[in-house]
Amino acid sequence: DPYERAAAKARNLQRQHHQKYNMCPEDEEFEALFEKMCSEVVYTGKQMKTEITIPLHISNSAHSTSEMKSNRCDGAAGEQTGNNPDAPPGTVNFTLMTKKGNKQQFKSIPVPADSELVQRIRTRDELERAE
Amino acid sequence: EDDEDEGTIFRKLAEHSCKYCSVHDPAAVVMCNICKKWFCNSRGHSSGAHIISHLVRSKHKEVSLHKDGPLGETVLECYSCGVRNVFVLGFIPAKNDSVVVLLCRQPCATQATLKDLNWDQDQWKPLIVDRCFINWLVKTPSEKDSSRSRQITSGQILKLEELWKINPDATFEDLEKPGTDEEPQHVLLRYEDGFQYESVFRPLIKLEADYDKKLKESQTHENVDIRWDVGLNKRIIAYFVLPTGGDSDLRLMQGDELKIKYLGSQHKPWSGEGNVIKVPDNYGEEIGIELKLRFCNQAPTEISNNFAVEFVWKSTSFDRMLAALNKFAVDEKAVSSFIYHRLLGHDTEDPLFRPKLPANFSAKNLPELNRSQAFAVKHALTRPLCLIQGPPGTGKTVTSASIVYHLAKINGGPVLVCAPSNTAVDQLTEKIHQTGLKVVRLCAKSREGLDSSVAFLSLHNQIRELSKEVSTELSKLQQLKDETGELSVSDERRYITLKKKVEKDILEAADVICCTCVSAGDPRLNRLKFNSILIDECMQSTEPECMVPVVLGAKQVILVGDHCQLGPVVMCKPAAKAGLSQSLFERLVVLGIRPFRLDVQYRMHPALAKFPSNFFYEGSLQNGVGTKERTLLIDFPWPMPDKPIMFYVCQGLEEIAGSGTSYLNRTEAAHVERVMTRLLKAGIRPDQIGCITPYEGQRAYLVQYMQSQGTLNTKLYFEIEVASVDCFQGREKEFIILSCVRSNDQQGIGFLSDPRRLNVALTRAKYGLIIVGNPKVLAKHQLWNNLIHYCIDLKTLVEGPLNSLRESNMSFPKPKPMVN
Ligand SMILES: [Zn+2]
Ligand SMILES: [Zn+2]
Ligand SMILES: [Zn+2]
Repeated sequence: DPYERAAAKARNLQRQHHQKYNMCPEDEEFEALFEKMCSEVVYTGKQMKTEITIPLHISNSAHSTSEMKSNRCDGAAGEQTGNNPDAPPGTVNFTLMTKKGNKQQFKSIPVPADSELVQRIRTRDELERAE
Repeated sequence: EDDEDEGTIFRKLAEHSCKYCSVHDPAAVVMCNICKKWFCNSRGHSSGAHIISHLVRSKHKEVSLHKDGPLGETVLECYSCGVRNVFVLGFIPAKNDSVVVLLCRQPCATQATLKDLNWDQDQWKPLIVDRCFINWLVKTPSEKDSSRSRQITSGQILKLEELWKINPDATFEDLEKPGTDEEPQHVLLRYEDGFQYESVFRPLIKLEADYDKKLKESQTHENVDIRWDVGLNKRIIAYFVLPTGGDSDLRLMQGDELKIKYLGSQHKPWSGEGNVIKVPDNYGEEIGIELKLRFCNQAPTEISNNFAVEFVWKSTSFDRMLAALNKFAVDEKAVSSFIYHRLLGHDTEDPLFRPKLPANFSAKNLPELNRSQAFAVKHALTRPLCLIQGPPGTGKTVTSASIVYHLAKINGGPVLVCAPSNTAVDQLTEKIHQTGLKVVRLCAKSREGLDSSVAFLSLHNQIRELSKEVSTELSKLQQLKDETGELSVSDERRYITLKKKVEKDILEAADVICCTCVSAGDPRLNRLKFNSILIDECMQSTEPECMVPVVLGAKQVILVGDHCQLGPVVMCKPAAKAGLSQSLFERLVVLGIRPFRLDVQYRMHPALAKFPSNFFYEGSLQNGVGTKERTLLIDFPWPMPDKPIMFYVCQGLEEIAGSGTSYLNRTEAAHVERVMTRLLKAGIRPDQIGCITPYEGQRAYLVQYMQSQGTLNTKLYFEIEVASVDCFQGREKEFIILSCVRSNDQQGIGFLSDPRRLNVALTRAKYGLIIVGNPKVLAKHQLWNNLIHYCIDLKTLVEGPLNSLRESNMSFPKPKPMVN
């Protein structure tokens, strides 16, 4: 019975999950509340930008991920903030673009080379190069 | 600056530490924008990160990153629409650049216009994965940080969140004390972690602090007459007698701070603060206060009456203890991992400790050590944590000084040496100084004006001396300050800068720094780290007091003390009952750390040592001095001249002393005076005689009685020290007279029932001990019954006039066999 099998598999996953985190009733309640908060549809009515542009100097200085090494985000001008002059080994520097009022800000952030973000971009770049 | 309050060396627990578990790495914590509390990104023992647990439980949804984290202060929000609900936020990487933006899932991330531009829309990922923030945005706290953090359960998280709904400032500790009327939690033998340790001791310290504060603040006296004087240092001194002087509850100490106010109308209102430089003693009941510099100029010294005196309560010592406990819990650099676990009572392997041992364990210029002392030194040098038990007269100070000497030689300095009392610190400082090591004695600022035998080693005096050599500018400013009492603002600034520099040089060059336990939290020690720490008279400090020096980096801790002598003084009864009066030394003994016992005593006549040895030290004390060396051929009516101990029966009535809380016994005072006079007539110098009396009322009465009724020159009686047991701990006299006072059948024997106090009282005398008291009352207590039988067996329980003492024929029930 495929339905039974699927249900059993789900129960099994659930059990593993419970064992992994040594779950108590408080945790179960917490997870249910968490799921609820994540699935809430938020309508803010706020005006959104139609377009998100990356200024040239950031675009130029930020390395393409295809040549990712332990690199520095060194070309940025005065707006560069954050506390990362050097990325620690095993990481790749990204720039997080944020906004303060209407002003763009660029913050350098080291992302671990084995993170999903870096891995996916690597795969994507390899695919592009293959094409 | 010289008059400034002393703060503490310890930083408060960081504002941004996780409210659940205390992790405080700025890269790993997030602030909830709604309630402004910080939480970390670690799961601990629950199924979501602490920050997520908080947001979910409180229904808060907005957060900011810490200013010292990799991104700096950042509010997490959608780049496009500004929405801040982290549960719908995610990020998108740019197609060709290593740039990312945060966007909300709906509608911004699915916006049609993104498609054609630089953004890789399909790559949108939520910021929260597996109920934690992604770790490149908020770091997962390191293993090390997590292991040193509070292990909070999901159940406790839920309770804490509930508590915050009523009281937003509640802390984890509040979870454990539902009502304030309830008794505080009793101290434990073992603790799970530093947080549990802190949470048990914190309420006890607070209780004691509150009690101390209330007691001191209630002591306001009006209508006080003042006698003004000027000290050698040109500071103004106010002398006065407090009307109820001699209340046993309040122990006025040198260095305490008092405030004097003028209440009359002959002068404009004035008030000034100063530190106690003299307490009531044999030389008079006057209290002396040295005014602080800034109050000296305006003091109404032409007026002598209508003043009020009140205590200024300082929280410094309690603050330092609290901060030390906190440091112990959260800061892994506070002590080595071994010390951490051992103090908590965890079983842990001794780390390898193989120092290069000296050929001779004695120290330069100090007496050659005996076998057990040398073993004690070796024992201490080869262990990261050790206890040394020094029964009375066994050369504890020389042994401690020898240990410190070798520690400094083996490891290089600085070694931190502490004791709870200034007297004990001074004694040890002097001995260590003899070995030729560079010693700095750090005094509390309030005590800098007091004289002591090691004043020349104190930091402030060393600064003065050194500045004469290295900085004429500082020397000149100091002179100007001494003469005029103050400096211009710019001079003062310059003075402080120069002084700090010299201070730093002295401290950095020191082999050994000596101070009281509480002074180890002094900001002047801020930059120093101590690998080796020795605490003497360790059983006289409370456990949190001991922790103040210990958390300054200890890798090696040597506790010297004797758990068979007096414990710490804890004034607040509930705190004492909950175990604050148990010393760290005692707890470690119970935990199974065997103290190394020094076993040869050099103080007492063997007949004086026998009873304490049998009843407090399992008969293990050997005599390093013989009967001959401790016999003075004087004209004194010892019932047994080769057993210079006697119990002089006195059946006077006890009364309540003037202050209402302290006891006195007039008949007994007369007996004591006669014994004293007899000793003086026999040629014993007054400074060789000590009189121990447990009650302040009896002390004051006795001093006054012997000075007015004594048949010899009054001056002689001045110099006989009359004080409490506590004052005599750590010291010795040739002859001791013990005045027991309590003679009341109905009540207990109070102070005298504490075996440790009795032990101290019985072990101060070198040549002779005279106990004056009512054996009928005292014999009701088992230990006293034993002591009385000891005297009966020696035929030294006597009564009658001193000239014709006769053996008393009182009889008492046989003592039950007892083991201490
Ligand atoms: Zn909140
Ligand atoms: Zn946490
Ligand atoms: Zn949005």
